[in-house]
Amino acid sequence: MSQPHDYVGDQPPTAKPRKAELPRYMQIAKSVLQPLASLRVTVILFVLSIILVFFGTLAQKRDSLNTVLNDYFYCWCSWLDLNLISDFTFVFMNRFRIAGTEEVPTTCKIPFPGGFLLGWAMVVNLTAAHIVRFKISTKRLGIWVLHAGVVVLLVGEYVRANYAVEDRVNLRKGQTGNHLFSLDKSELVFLKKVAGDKDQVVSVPVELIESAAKSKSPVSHPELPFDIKVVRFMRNTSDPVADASGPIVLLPGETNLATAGFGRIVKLEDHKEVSSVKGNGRINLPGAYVTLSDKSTGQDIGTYVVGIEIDDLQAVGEWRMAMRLKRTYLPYTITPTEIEQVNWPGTNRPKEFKSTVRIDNPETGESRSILIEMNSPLRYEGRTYYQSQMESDGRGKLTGLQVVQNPGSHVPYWACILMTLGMTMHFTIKLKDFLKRRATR
Amino acid sequence: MKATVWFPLVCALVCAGYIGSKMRPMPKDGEMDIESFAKIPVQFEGRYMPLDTFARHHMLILSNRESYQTGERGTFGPKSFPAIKWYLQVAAGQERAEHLKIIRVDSPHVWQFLELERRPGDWRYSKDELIMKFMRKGSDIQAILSKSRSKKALTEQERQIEAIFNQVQLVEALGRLHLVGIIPDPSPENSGTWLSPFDVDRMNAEPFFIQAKAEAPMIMKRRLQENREEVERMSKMNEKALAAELEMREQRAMRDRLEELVNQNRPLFAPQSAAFHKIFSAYASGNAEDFNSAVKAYRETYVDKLQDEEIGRTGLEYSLNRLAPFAICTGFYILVMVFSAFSWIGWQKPLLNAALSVGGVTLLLHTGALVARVIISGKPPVTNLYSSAVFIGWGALILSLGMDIYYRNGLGSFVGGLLGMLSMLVATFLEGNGDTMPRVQAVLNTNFWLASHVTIVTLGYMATFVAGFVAILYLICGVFTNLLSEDRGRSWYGTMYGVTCFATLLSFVGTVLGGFWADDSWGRFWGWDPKENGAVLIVMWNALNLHLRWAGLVKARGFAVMAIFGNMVTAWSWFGTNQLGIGLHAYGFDDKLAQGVTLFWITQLCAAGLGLIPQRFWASFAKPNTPAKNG
Repeated sequence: MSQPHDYVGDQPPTAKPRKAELPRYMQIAKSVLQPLASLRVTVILFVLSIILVFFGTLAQKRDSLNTVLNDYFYCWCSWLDLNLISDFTFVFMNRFRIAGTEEVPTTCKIPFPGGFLLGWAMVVNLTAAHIVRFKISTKRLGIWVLHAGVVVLLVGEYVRANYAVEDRVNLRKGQTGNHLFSLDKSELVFLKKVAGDKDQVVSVPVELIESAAKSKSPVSHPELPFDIKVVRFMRNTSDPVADASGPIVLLPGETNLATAGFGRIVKLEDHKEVSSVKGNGRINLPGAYVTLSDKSTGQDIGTYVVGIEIDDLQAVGEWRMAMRLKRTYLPYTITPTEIEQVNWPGTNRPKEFKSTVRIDNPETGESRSILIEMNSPLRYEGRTYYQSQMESDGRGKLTGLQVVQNPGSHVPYWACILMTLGMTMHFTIKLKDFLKRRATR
Repeated sequence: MKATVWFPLVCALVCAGYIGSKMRPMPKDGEMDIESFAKIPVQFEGRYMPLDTFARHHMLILSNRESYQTGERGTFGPKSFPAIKWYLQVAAGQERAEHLKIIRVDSPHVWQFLELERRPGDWRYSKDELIMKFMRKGSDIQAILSKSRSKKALTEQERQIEAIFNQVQLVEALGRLHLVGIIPDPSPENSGTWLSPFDVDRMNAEPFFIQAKAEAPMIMKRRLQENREEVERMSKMNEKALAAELEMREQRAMRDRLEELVNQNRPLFAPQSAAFHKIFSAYASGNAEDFNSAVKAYRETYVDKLQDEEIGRTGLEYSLNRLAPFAICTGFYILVMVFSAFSWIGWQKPLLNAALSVGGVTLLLHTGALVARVIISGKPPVTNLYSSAVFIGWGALILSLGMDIYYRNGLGSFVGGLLGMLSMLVATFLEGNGDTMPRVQAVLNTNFWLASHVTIVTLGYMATFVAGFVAILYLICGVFTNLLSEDRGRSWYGTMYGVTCFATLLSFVGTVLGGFWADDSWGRFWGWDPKENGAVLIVMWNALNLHLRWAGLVKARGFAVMAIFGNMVTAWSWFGTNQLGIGLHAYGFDDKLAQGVTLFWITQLCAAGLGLIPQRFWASFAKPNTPAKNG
């Protein structure tokens, strides 16, 4: 075994006598698959993945997890920032930075295969390898099962990246909730009273607002009588240092971009993104200055400030407008009837969190109470409710439930069963071989 | 008897005898039964522990070690005294305690600010010394404290000064019997909480405070009547100064009276606290009989009636503290290394057997210590960084001894000893971070996942380290000696490969179990957080190395270099990822940890650098007539 080779094992596979020549299309397929199946491609993919994961970890020092996921792992092409190395040397080499400062980090971005690309490349490489080197033998069975598991695992993560939804609901004891909110997606909503207490709702995803700020072209919606021009978009308006949150009240005589609405009293300022590793569970709170202009006349109505930090709806003609964390309304309601935090005696360190919630479903007429604990979630109508943090303030305890909807939630379990089975089979076979060889020696 | 039998047997017996000698009870200190006192259960940070642990814990925080020196000399260098004696002195309010040099100040900022005398090598100062210095800088300290209270960012210097100031405050608090929970809280909403004597005094002090305040002017007058000279001096003061002087005296009179009243009445409002106080006053008086009877009375009345199983385990914890098994293990690990290394030079079998027998004794001791920790904490063996370190040492020893029983080449014992010793050093360093068996956060409070995921992933780290250290040894011995020229080179490579397979399996299973835990806890199998990414990096690195070998892209030399990089990846995952949150003003423990990790990386890079030397220049494969067997 002196030369690098593309087969697994110490001996090259012996060419088996074939009954007949392969048909032409099979030969073509094989010549295409051959390079894709190379073990060297596998090695390269491993190296690229290791680099991506490492940089994707470093990036969390500066950016929120959501940003990192979109920029590194859940994308086809990522722009890998080489100067993240400075963040590494900063911690491990006595505050040394190659370029930039802690406050203003210089970036040096290069295109790099993203998580999706690497994942699917691995799937292709593996599949091709098994097709080209197809050989049924008990000896290789373990590897087969193991690699099938890897493929299932990668596919499962792809499903989660694209189809899983994570929401939250925060409720006080006795407070009834009928909607969830997202921690990483926001919306600009417009409400208009129609018949009775019903509202007409128009929701514009904040991603649209962000891209409109870049492209400078207005956002238009058929149901809205006005267009939205984004003057300024801010990914995060929450000060990472200050404890208190909320918009900043304008000083007398101070002006800002806004000409109408709340913006005449308060302003929002751009801040650094909340770091994934230092944020302590905080999230980015986006905000924007938007100019609304009448669709029929083309005249500006005014420039408003909107943001998650501003709680209330502001009136624009017969519409009301607010930026808020993206809501999902439920066909049933949730009411915590009991919220309990048990601390280790004499400390503030929580030992357990428990919430008893009542679910009322008008569609099915169901009404029942369930206990949700840490590591013991509630599964209901395709959603799973996990006990998350608990907070206390002047008005009492607040229970936070993480709500997850993931069509592929069971895929990793299948993958792991396959992989564990495969590994065990393979190592058993190898061990047997080894012992046999030793015995004969 | 043959040397292969008697020599290892003698070694094992000597080691066992040494352990036995460490198990004897603590020598009596002038007939005072300190041991009974040290076993008294207390509650601190939510868990029950013997007073001994409480004292050690605070001494570690203040002094970075678990014993203290007074400058007295014993048979072997300076004499050390156990932390519990220091606590006794501090709590008894003895004059000496004030002068004991306990607080470690190793920050140049603080030396400069407080104008401290430099004490190279020791850097420890007494509380009194520091208080005197701090008093001179009163206004500066106040400024820093108020800045800190209003949560403004402190400069590095201010942060370090504040840290030392807090240390001084900590000693003061200990002296007032604060922090040490001994008295069950009577109120139902806090049931299970034990209050400290200080807390109980404060809760009951109000009537005495009122009384003391009322009586203070009279006491002051009486004192002045007894002290004519002072009155003389004060009569010369101007009106403003006089008023201030009088107020101060009244305050002092009030405080003295309050203390007197509380001391008098304590047996009525808090008999347990009074009994506890009595131990210290007996200690201060130096009367051994009084001290012993006070301890005995306290134990009989308040300790013996406790039924809780968890409290019962504090006795075991005390024994564990006394024995200090991990310190003994460190020594034995070095012995194992020495024996196996010498076995490569000569007297092969007896030395190898000795390494294995000493390894066996060490394994028993290490296992016993881990079991004791599991019993005491009621948790699986790995719950935090400290316990992962001692667990890695244990796992490495088992894997390595197993390798040596199988291959009989001394490599396993050597690596086992080396990793065991290193893990003990890491653990000793991590002890400075606080209690080694702390109460865990709510999400970690599940024995099932702790036992499966955490244990297995830690074993994955361990196996990767074993492969990496075998690789280092392979390179060093291959380049500088001719040890690998025969079959040994081939067998060491085989070991490296086998362990890497095992490491891949363990780290993979461990990582996946972590995913299941995450899915179970918050519905996200994979969250891409730094720790998870660190674990998957280890899996990918090991898998990469295996695939490189399978593709024939690396041979023994390349495989070894890759395995050494595996050590670096593991160190990143184990410690590095935790350090990412370090900001500009990191100070103290985390920063030291980061420096330690960097140092480790540098050593690994040096070792890997050896692998860049082509094999024909290696001492083991250089002979022109012997073709490299594993080349």
